[in-house]
Amino acid sequence: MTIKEKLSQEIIIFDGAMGTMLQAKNLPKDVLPETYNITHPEVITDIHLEYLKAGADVISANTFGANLLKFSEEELKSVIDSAISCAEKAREGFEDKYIALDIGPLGRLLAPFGDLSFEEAYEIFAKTIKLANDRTDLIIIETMNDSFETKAAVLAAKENSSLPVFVSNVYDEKEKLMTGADAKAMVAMLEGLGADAIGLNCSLGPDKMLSILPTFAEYCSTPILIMPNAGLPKVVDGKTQFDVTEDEFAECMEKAVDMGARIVGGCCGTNPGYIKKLHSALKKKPPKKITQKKHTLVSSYTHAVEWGNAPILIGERINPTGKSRVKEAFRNNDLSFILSEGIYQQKAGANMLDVNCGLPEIDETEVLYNTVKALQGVTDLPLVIDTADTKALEKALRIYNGKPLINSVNGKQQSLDSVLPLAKKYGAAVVALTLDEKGIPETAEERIKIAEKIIAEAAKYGIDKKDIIVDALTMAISADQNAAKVTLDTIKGVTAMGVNTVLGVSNISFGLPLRDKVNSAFFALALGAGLKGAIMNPHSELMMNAAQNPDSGSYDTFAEEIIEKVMCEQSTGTTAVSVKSDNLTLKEAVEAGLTEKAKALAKSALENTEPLELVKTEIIPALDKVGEGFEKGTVYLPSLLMSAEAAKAAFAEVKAKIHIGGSKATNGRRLVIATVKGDIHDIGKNIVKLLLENYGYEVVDLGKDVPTEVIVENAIKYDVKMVLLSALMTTTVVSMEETIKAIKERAPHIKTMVGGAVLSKEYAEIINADFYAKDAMQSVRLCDEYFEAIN
Amino acid sequence: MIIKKEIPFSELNIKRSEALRYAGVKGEADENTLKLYDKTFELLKENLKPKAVYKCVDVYCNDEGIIIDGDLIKSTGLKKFLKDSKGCAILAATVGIEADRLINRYSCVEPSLALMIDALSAATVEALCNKLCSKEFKVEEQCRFSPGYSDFPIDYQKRIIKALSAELNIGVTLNSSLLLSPSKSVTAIVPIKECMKECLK
Repeated sequence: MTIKEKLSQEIIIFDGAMGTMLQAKNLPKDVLPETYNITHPEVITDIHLEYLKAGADVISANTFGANLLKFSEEELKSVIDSAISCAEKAREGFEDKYIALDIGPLGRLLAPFGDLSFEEAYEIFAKTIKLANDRTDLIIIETMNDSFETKAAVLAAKENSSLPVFVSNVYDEKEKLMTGADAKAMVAMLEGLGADAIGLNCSLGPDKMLSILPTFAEYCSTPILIMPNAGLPKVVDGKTQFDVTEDEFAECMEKAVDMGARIVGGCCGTNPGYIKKLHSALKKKPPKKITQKKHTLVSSYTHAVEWGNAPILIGERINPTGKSRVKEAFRNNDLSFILSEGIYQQKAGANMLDVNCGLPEIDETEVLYNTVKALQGVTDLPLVIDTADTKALEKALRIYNGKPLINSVNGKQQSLDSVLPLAKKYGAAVVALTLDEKGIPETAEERIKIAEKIIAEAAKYGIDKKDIIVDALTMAISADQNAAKVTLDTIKGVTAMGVNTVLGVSNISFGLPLRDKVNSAFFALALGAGLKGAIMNPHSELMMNAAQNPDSGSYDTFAEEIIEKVMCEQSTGTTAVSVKSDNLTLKEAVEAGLTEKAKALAKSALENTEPLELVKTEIIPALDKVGEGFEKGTVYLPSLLMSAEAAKAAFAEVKAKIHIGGSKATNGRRLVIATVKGDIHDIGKNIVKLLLENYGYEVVDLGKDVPTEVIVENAIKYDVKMVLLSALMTTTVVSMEETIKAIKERAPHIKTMVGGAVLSKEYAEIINADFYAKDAMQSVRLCDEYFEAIN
Repeated sequence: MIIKKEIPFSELNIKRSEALRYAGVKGEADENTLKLYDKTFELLKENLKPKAVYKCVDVYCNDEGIIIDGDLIKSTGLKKFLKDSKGCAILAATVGIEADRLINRYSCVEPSLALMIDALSAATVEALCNKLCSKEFKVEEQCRFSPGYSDFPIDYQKRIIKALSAELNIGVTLNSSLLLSPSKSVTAIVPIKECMKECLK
């Protein structure tokens, strides 16, 4: 019987702790415990044997820390080979017992908050799995306390082995992983990725774990695994003991089985005694049936969003279509603008964010990948990966930290064949557009038929209909007054099939005045008809209100009525809202660091002042005054920054105006800025960037932990005259020195400026930097001086 | 034995003047800056999870240096610091990854807030260590010595992280440049008094 067959019928008992047993054996200390596989194989085999005799169905090979971060490739191969041999030797003479390849965490935090990339983590796990060469019966990935690392390990297992993969995470008392994910989010992601069992181990004792189990039981259609510690450690007579007895442990685990656990075992502090008790308590216990759950979940690295209840609002703003500022940002690699759009939409109340960077002139694969990666560093909203390019889609799905939503698949065979396999492999939910080779049907019946076809095709790949969200398609009512009714009827029909629906709402008002009014009225009706989510603008108050107030009224004459209404309102004219201010000038608002006021004042001033005049007479003098105060020591950094932010807000208004006029706001002074390789602290760099931008520089920000080659390549590509580098620690100044050396070699005309906590003028000279700036203001002054001198 | 401690943000004695100093305020803070501080404080109260892990071990001296937890450390600074101690605590403390996330988030939209989060999180991890020094180890608030101080090699962080299973216990890891992640984390050695001897196992 294979482990999966056994799992479908019985409770499976895992072994207990390996580490706890090894500590009691008085082996040489200060070596990695996996080394004992080679130096003391008999000890390892004995421990396995004890667990088998106690009644364990599965023993975990001693490979928890067997990875390339701890061993050379050669050592690793021999550590893994001997680990499996020890387990095989112990199993001789036992029937129906299984060996698991044990994969533990790498001990390094993944980017962006650590310096190990997702791809590196994947490769490290993949190497261990390849070296084990499917010699075991299953793989268990356990004690993982980060969702991203868990995903890297699961992908590595799925792509490099055909064995079943069990996955177990560590939750704290607040029922979250160390990096923030809750159980619902983990279930969403791991079921999507095709884990064969999902659960929790370590850190908590059995009673605490029982309180998390109901979440698993509610959302998980996959066998649930639970392996607690033997309670908390305490010292008795000079020895470490755990405070849960064997009997208490077994009793708790019986409860766990009643609550739905299918796989049980022990973690730290447990030994064969615990497993023996567990075995006798559970040997005659019938397992609880595993049912298929119907929840539609998408998730981020902290939480899951569930479809079907309150409407899910998907922010639409990260999309270049019809938005010139977003287009410009994607073209110029200005990620910080895109990230701000994400953060503002979250602030406005969006539940998810759509991410679309489809522009013909950019490398969509690269840009989408970078955007998704950066967005999940600043927002915990689940993302909608919106692209028609399957290569770009796969690359983004791979590094998405959670269960994403794909936008979209449609009824065309080519779309089904290319998108559905990716949705299955990466465990995504998918938006299904109700169109096919023949275009967009004009009737609701035909659209529903396409939805049915997509659902049936998805089922062939093993994708449940709960993971299909049907887009009933919104068409402009100005072109066809029947369009609204067809869409709403489609929503009703699909809802009746027990399938969720979504709409991109704003198409409805195309070609009409007062679009927001039309959109929100239609949105309310669609919600009344059963709509479960919308891709919309969360900054629209009318739309946010509509989300709270579904309209279940009749909609047969919606189009005629709303068109008449907005046409009439438009002709009577609406009064413009005037911006009031409390006697503050723009200059004063910037000086005081009042962002909202500065923005409003700039907007109203621009109605009768030339943009560049406003910059010259109000914004720049304010910045200068604050900057001088900072240099004199009468203004401190927080105030300098608040003024800079206010100025930035005012500049955004100016830019919007100039943009319409078609000229450029910058003075042609372009710079590259980066925090060097190995350094992940970039707050100082961001401050410098903000100030430089306010003083008219175009700043290409390469981010943090940036390899030398990337900095040099971009400096050449963007044809800049100066590169600014930051480093926080002495350990990373080395990378700074290397980068300067590389720039001097490959592009000697480019100057370098450095700054950061550990640097000094002398230090900057030693590493051959051209300029040293002691603070952000000085970096502006030095750039100004330099650019003036060369012009 | 390894002991884990979680201390709620609200129980820490966070020094406003210290946080403001970290943010670059060298004199009296103006009203706007104080408002920014208050806003940051409220935000961090909800999001930081101060926690620490430590273990008490014996300390011996010899001519070459000082032996802690079986490791010879060649550091005259540390030897001097521990000169009257029979034991010490090896400590790792953090406010968690949420500080880094918030700094990253607000760097894009509100750098002044990011700056203040950075400063206040640093002051929080200091306050956490102070609390542990006074409450757990019964020594002066700032009585601790971290790798990187004087001639105490920064490499020793590796030993501390490993000895405390800090990754598993509180999520603190070291990157290849020996920077701690989450960034608002501290590792240190704290001398302990005779009365702590019972946990020297």
